[in-house]
Amino acid sequence: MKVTDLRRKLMATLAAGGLLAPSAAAVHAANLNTNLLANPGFENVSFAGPLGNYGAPLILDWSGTNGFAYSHDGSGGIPDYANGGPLAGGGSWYFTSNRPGPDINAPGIFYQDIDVSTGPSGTLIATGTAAYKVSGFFSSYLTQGDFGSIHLDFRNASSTSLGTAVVSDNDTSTWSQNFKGGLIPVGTATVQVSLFGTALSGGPDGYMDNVDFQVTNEVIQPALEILVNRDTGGTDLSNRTGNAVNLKSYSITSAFEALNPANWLSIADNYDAGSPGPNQVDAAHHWSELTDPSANADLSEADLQAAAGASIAHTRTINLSSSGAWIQNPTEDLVFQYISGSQVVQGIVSYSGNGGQPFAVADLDVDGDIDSADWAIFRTSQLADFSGLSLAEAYRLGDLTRDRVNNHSDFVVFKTAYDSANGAGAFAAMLAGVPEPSTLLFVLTAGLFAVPLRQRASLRD
Amino acid sequence: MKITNWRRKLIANLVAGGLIAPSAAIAANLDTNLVANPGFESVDSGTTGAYGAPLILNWSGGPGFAYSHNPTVTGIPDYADGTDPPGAGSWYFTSNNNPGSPTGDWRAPDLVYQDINVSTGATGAQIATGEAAYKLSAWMSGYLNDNDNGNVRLDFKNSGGTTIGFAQISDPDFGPNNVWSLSSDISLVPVGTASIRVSIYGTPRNGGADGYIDNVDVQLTAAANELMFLEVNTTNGQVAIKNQTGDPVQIDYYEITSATGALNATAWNSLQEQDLGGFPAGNGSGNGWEQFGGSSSNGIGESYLTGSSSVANNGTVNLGAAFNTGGAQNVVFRYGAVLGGSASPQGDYNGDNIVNAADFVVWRKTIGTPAGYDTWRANFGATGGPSGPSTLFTGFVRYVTSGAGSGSTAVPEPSTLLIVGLGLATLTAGGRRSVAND
Repeated sequence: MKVTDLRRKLMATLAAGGLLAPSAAAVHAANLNTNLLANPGFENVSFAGPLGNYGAPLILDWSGTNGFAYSHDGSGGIPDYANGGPLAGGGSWYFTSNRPGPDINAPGIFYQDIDVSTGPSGTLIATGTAAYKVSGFFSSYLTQGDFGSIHLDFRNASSTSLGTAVVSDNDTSTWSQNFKGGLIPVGTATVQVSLFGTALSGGPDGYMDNVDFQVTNEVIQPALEILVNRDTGGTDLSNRTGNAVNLKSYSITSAFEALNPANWLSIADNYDAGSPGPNQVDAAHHWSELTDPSANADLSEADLQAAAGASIAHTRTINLSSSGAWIQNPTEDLVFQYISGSQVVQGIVSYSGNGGQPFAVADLDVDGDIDSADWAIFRTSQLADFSGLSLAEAYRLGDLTRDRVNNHSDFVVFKTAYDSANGAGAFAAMLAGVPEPSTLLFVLTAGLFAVPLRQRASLRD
Repeated sequence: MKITNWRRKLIANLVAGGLIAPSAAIAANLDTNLVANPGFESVDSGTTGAYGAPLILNWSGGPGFAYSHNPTVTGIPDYADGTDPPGAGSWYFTSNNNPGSPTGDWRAPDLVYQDINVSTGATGAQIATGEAAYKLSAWMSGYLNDNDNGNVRLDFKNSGGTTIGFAQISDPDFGPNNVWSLSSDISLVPVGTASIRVSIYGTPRNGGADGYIDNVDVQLTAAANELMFLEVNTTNGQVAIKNQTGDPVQIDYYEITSATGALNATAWNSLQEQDLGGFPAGNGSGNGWEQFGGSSSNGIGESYLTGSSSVANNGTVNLGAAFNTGGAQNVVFRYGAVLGGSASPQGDYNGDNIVNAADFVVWRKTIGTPAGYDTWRANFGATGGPSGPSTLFTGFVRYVTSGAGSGSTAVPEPSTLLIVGLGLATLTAGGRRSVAND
C-alpha cells in the first residue's frame, strides 16, 4: 500500500527513525470511521536488519516479535510467494507469518495495541452502540492451504479481555478481501490487533496486506437485511454488512400470508437491466419474479438470465415497497433468504415504527390503539365471507383466531383485548345505564301503566 | 346458567353392592348418571395391575386399574396431586397402568370405556325430539409435574354404531399446579344417537400417561333445562330466543345460521333495532347490541362489546320474522353466555346486573315492600354479576306452527328508557304465567 496520508507518512518516518512509539495508537484512537492501524499496508519497512527469510525486510510500527515483508513487485530483490499475483493497490510489500525462528502462528505475537478509550471512539463505546469493522487482503503459498488471520482482542482498562473476533482467509488460491464487523463490548479501552498464520503444510505461509481496523457508528449486520416499516407496510432491502454483497436471488416468505405482491417494487420490474436510472440494481441482467401475483405467502425473484446477480454496495438500500407490501399485523413472521455467490444466506428481518412495538392483537386499523374504530371494522365483518382472503387479510377484518371466519371465538378475543385496553365493560355499562334524574322521575310515573301492558303481553304465550 | 349445581351423588355404592345392573337398566332415564361404577369404587382386588392396583369392574375394554385415595387403609399407593375431590371414596382410575402393553398405559379413546344404550325409554324419547342435552363432568388430576392429563370422551353413535358426534373434557390444570379439579361440558345430543360410548384415557407428555380420573358423570336431560333455545314459527317466520333454564342467562353474543339461506335478514328485527330495556342498542361504538355486518340469509347475529344483557328465566326475546317460511329447517342457534364473576348487586330485581330504573318497575309490580324499595334506592347504580369473556353454547331450535312470536312484538317500540323498563317487566311477568300454565 502506498502511504498517501501525509500525516501518517510523517508518523511512519518518525517511527522508522525511532522518534515515536511503534503503534502510535494515541494519535489515531480518538476518531471514528478511519483506519486506526499504523502502517496497515506494510509499506514502511527497514532493511537495516534483522532480516527475515529470503532477505525480507523488517516491518515497522508493529509490536511484539519481528515481522517481515515479501514483495509484490520484486522491490529490493525480495520474491513474491503469494498466489494471485501482485495485489492491485497493494504497493510493494505484504506481511508474511512465516519467519526465521518461531513462526507467528497465534494472536499476541505480532500486533498493535490501539487505545480507543478517549475521544469519539471512547464516547461511542460507552454508549454500547460502537461497532468495529476489520478487513484485510489475504493470500497463501501454492496449494499448501496455509492461511492468515486477523485477531481482535477487546480489553478493558485493566487489560482483561472482554471479547475477541477473528477474520481469516477463506480462499488461499488468490488475494481476496475478507471482512468482519460487530459490536464493541462496553468497557473496551484498548483493542489488540494481531496478525498470524495457520500452517497446514510446513511453516504458516499466511500473507496479508492492507489491514483495516475501524471503530464506527455504522450499523453493522452479518447479512443483508429487510427493513419493514410497521407504519406503512413498506419494505427496504438494505446492505449494512460493511461490504459489497453479491445478490443473485431472494425470497421473503410469510406463513401468515402477510405479503401483497401488488405493492411490491421488484428488481425485475424496477431495478434490473430493463430499468436504467439512478436506482438501478443490476445493469447487466434481466431479473424474473417468481411469485404468484395472486398469492400472499412470498415475494421472490432471481436473475434467471445469467444466475450472476448484482453487487449490492455497503449502505445501499433498495426500496422494495413504499407501502403495503407487508400487510400490517401483529404476527411479524417474515423470513428473508437470499443467494449470494454459491451460498444460501439467512437474511435479517427488522421492523420499525408503531413506537417500536408490534401491533396489538385487535388493533385492526393498525394505528396503535384498540378503540371504536377497530370495533367498527370488526363488527362490519362479523359472519362475513372470508373465502379468497389470506390469513393476514382475514385478520385485518376480524379473524383473530386464524380460521378465516369472524365468529364468537374472535369476539371473545376482541372483547378481552378491548376491555384490557379500555377498562372493563361493566364500567362502561354502568355509565350507559344510569338514567338522568329527569328520566328517572318519568319512570316512576310510567310504572302505573304496567298492568294493562302485562295483560297484552300474555297473548304471546 | 346452572352449570355447576347439578352434581349428583354416587350411585357407585349401589352398583358396587349389585343393586343396580350396569348400563341397560339405567339407560332410559333422564337427569341421572348413566355411568356404571362412575367413582371406580367397585374393584376386584384379586386381579391387580402394577403397584398392586385392583381391577376396576363394570367398565369394558381395559383392564383398567385403580389407585387409592386411602393408601393407609387399602395398601395401594396414591399418586395423584391435590386434595381428594368430594365423595372421592377409596379408588380412582389411572390411565398409566396397563402392564404388558408397549406403552404401559391407556392413551387413546375406545380402550377403557362403557357403551350406554340411550335408544329406549325417556332418553330415547327426548333425543328424538331434538331437544336432548348431555351433561358431562369428571374430576381429574395427574402425577407430580409430569404434565400428563386425563380425558373423558363421549362418542354419540347411531343405531348402526357410527359416531355422529363427540364431546370431550380434559384436565385443564396439568403441570406444576395440578390438583383434583372438576371439568364439565354441556351441549346438545345429536338426533339419531342410539348409544353413547364413554371413554377414559390419559394424554402422555412425560413418560406414561398419568391421567387420574374420578366420579365420571354423564347425564341426559331435556335441553331446555340447561340451554336457551330458538323458537321458529314456520307459519309466519317469527323467531324468538327463549330461556327456560330456571336461571337468568347473561349474554353478549348470539348468531343464527342456515347453510341453505333459510333466514330473512331484512325482516329480522334485531336488538339494535328494538333497543329493548336491558338490551340497549349500540350506536356503532360497541356500547350496546349491534348487528353483524356480515348478516345475510346464511347468518344473522349481534354482539355487545362493552357489556352484556340478561335474558330472564322464562324470558322471551323476539327477533322478528327472521325465518323464511318454507325454508329448510336447518337453523343453528348459538349464543355467548357470560359465566362466573361476582354476584348480582342487591336491588337488581330484573337480573341484568345493574341496579337502575328497570328494577324499580319490577319492585313496583312484584315485590312492593318498603324494605325492597330501600334496598333498590340504596344500591342504585351498583353493578356486578357475571363478567369476562362469554362461553359459546349451541342452543336447540324448536320449530312451531303457531304461538311463537305471533307477529305483535310483546315489547312496544320503545322511545325512551321508561318504556324500556316497563317492557322488561311485562316480559318477565308473561313468561312466568306461561310456566304456570304448562
